[in-house]
Amino acid sequence: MTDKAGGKVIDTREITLSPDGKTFTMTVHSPGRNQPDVLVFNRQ
Amino acid sequence: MLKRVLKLLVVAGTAVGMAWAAENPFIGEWKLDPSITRMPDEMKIESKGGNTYSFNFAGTPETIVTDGADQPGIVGTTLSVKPEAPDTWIVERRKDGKLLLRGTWKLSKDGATLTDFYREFEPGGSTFSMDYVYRRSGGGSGFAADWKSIRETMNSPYVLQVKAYQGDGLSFIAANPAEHQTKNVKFDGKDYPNEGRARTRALPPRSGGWTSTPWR
Repeated sequence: MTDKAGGKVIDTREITLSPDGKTFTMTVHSPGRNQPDVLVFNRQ
Repeated sequence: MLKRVLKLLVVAGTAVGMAWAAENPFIGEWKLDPSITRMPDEMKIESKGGNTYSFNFAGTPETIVTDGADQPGIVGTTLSVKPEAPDTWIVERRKDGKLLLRGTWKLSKDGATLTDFYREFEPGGSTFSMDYVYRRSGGGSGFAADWKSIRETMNSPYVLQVKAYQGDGLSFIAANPAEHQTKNVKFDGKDYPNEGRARTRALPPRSGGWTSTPWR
């Protein structure tokens, strides 16, 4: 997923699901930042 | 005849889309796990002599006197830094006089780490809460250093809903007190507009201890 504002890329997000479908990981890459955010979600 | 075939194709396509949506494993409600989530942050604080410091949170330095007074900052905000104790600073950012955020910064006894108890105040009265622990890198003493976070703890619960969008697309909905924003995607390489309000509003993320949320 690519997020834009005014045509400019703000970030790109990779989303993956664990094999058992219970955990969802979103890795967010932002321009100018060395390390991505790694967000981990659990299914409710 | 052609019209009937087209109609059947549309019906079939819709049915396939609905079935795909029903089976999509991303659909559901998801709660952020703060214990394993990482949202690394960096900030640079440079002494300019006396009690004047340069703060660089988001690429644009802001130079102010650390006397607790509001001083011009980025994108129409004011920034203030009040030393409460030799090891404690209170950092506040306002816009149009309204308090947007407060960071309570505490240095460790050995000066190697800085903890930022970051609180952001939302228009509806809710507070977004996050604690950062930074490790000193580079030179400097006291609060002056290049600080890189080693731990980020989101205290506010954060829930993301994923729903079907126009058949074979997905809507990612951040429905939290601090923000209500929907990102719609279809897997066709095209852009779709976001809906609702992001919590960072007109300000860039990470500008003032200004944090990033999962769905900024």
